[in-house]
Amino acid sequence: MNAPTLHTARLTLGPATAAHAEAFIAFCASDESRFLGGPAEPRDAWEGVAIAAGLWALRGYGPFWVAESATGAPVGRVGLYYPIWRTEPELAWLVYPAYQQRGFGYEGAIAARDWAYATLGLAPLVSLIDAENTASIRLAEKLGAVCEGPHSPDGGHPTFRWRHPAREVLQ
Amino acid sequence: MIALTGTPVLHTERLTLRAPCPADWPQWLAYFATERSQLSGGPLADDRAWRAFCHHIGHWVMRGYGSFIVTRKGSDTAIGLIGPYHPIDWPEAELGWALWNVADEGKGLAYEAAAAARDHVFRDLGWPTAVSYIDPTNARSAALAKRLGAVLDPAARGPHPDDFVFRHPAPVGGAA
Repeated sequence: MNAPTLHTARLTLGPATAAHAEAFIAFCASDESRFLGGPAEPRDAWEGVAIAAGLWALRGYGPFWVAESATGAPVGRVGLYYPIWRTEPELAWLVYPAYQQRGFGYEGAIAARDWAYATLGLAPLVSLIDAENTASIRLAEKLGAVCEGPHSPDGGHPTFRWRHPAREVLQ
Repeated sequence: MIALTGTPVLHTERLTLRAPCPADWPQWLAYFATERSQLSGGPLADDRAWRAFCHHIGHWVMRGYGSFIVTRKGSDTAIGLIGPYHPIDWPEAELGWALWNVADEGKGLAYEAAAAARDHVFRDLGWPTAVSYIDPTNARSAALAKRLGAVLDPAARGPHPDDFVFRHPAPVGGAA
């Protein structure tokens, strides 16, 4: 199983393509990737793309790659991330620096969240956000998520756990 | 259960080679916890083993091919990982092999599976050539490469500076 394709007003969410892999590798090479554990070598970034595809095959859900529909340009990645050592799936998002400040993260995250609730019937989703990642914290707040306190299941940088509204609340 | 679809299955006299699936995770995790998994870049902590598992499954999605899980005929329990593998930073696409349990050694099983995987990459994937990267201390694996007809290619380099690079002979008449 691979990611289905979702459409929002301005974005197309779907499986990885060569263009998405290339854009992600470029992003991971920059210091902008620090909140994802970067910078990372191309090999590790490519492995990250393959891992995302593997998660779909293993879990039946995973991250979507996001393109701007009008141009086809890769703008980031949103969707579900659930490695085996965690206790619940995370709603995660990433918008490349050149495409920030345009509401793409909000638009993509809503599409992925609503897909997860409608298709998978998941319980209220969690997002783990670095304490210094102010742009991401703002997006979590805009999505109606509430901070539940520090929680760093992966080690590394301290992160805070944000809880999204349940499906019933959003309806 | 979710699965990769449309992936090839290879059959040999005693073995079946198929794409990895979620049910392989316990054997995968157990193997990568052992010292034996040095053959495959291990040992790995559980989280790294999980990333490697997802990566190998995703490799099939990204490349359209990948390494096969080896099972004995009549059982679906994974006993090894053998076949084509090509992360982006490797100089060439590789044919790799590892049987996960020492009890399966010495029976020609790795040869049987690796020969089937080699035939697959030339016949079905149309590779013009294939290499195997082997740690210089891994005499068993080097012996298997030689038994498969591969020869050391001193001009080629592997992903690690001291790897032996064995090159497999392409079928007579070139790749199909």
